[in-house]
Amino acid sequence: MIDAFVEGGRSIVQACHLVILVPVAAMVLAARARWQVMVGAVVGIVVGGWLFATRWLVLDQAQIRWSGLLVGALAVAVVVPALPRWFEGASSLGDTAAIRTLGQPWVGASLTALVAIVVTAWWRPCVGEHLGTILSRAPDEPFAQLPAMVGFMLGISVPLVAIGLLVRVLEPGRRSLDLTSYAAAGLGVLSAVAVVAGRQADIVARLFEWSQ
Amino acid sequence: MNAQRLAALGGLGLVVALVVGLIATNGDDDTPATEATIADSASPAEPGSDSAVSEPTDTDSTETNSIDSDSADPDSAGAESTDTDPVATEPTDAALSDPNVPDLPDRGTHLPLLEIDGWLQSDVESLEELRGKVVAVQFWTFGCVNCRNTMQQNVALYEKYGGDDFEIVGIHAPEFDFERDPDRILESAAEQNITWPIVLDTEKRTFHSWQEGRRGFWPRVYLLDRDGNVRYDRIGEYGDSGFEELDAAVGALIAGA
Repeated sequence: MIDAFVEGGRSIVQACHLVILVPVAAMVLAARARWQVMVGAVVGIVVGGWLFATRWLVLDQAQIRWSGLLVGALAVAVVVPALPRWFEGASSLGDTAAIRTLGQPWVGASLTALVAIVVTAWWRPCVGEHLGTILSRAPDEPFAQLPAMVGFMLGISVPLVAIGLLVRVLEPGRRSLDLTSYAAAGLGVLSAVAVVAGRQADIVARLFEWSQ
Repeated sequence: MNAQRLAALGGLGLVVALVVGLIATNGDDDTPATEATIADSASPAEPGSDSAVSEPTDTDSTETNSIDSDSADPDSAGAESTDTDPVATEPTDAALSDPNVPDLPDRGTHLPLLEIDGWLQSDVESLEELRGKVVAVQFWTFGCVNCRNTMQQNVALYEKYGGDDFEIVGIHAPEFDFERDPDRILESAAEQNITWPIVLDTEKRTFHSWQEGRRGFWPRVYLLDRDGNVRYDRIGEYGDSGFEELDAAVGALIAGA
């Protein structure tokens, strides 16, 4: 489990995990990095990774596009209602239905966990030694590989936890936090558009190439 | 500073220390344990032509278009297996009793090579021609870092077992457009001491058909026994323990496991 965690932690410099981290980071930021939401994000990534490895959750191309539409719609629901207020120069943009919903700790946590599970099904991992072993064996021995998979997914969740903690430490002003939330949600929208357009793999592949 | 902010600050400090630690130690164990076994000069066990791209043969075309072909049908595949004349090898106790030998269940005959674009570095033009040898079929693409990290170990395996009993076939399934160029594939192969036959799976049809579950991984290696049955597969880099397992599996299959 420790080895897998280390491999996951080291692999954060690769672009392969962005497809998971960008939308989930957007959720965490949109929910103002509440503790419960951060926990929901990490739990969702871990559960999603395990479902991925065991092949209990495999989406075909059509399902991936539908799930992209859903995640995109969620991100749009966060961004769009705030835009008129942004142009009016409002000091706070956060008072939208979507933000209020995410702001309810356990609702936000559950929704974030769900999104994390869905986006993990879009994942195209770079497969090192330990993840390779997990992916090779998990379909036949799912529970034996669970600790290692938990370790690996916790490793790739490190940036997410860091972002959440940074927000909590810096306690940025409401407007700054709003801006960050909406920028992240915008990235979530772009990510979803890429998935719906079937270009997500190409984008991840290009990012991976640049990251080398 | 309130307690929550203090806790977050402490947590962030731990995370930063963790990340710095991970990055600082990255690469410390990159040298595979097998490196010492690799000879200075890579001499192929069965050198093929270096540059010519073999056109797909009728066999390949048949494989492509026949869903009900011998290879795709487990029953007829079994019949086909009986037609082959595997090289008789006495089981080697040492190879069979190696504790690293994984389970090697018979998963049936390998799937066909679908609509491939030819072979590189090979006089062989179909997997059927390799019956009688244990074959490691690896899906790779030359731009894939995880694939590159397996190549030294593949070279070691080829030098150890290559010959009448063992062959490696690299099925090159490009991820990017620039990886579709056969000249660049050959250039990369030369850089990495890849001397075994390479199959061009430019449209990734074989890549996707062999890897069930609508997911394809680079790298992924399948071991075929002398009758062409799939006995083992592994996703990703080998690392030390994975390579020991692969090495032991090849040895056991050659010995008749």
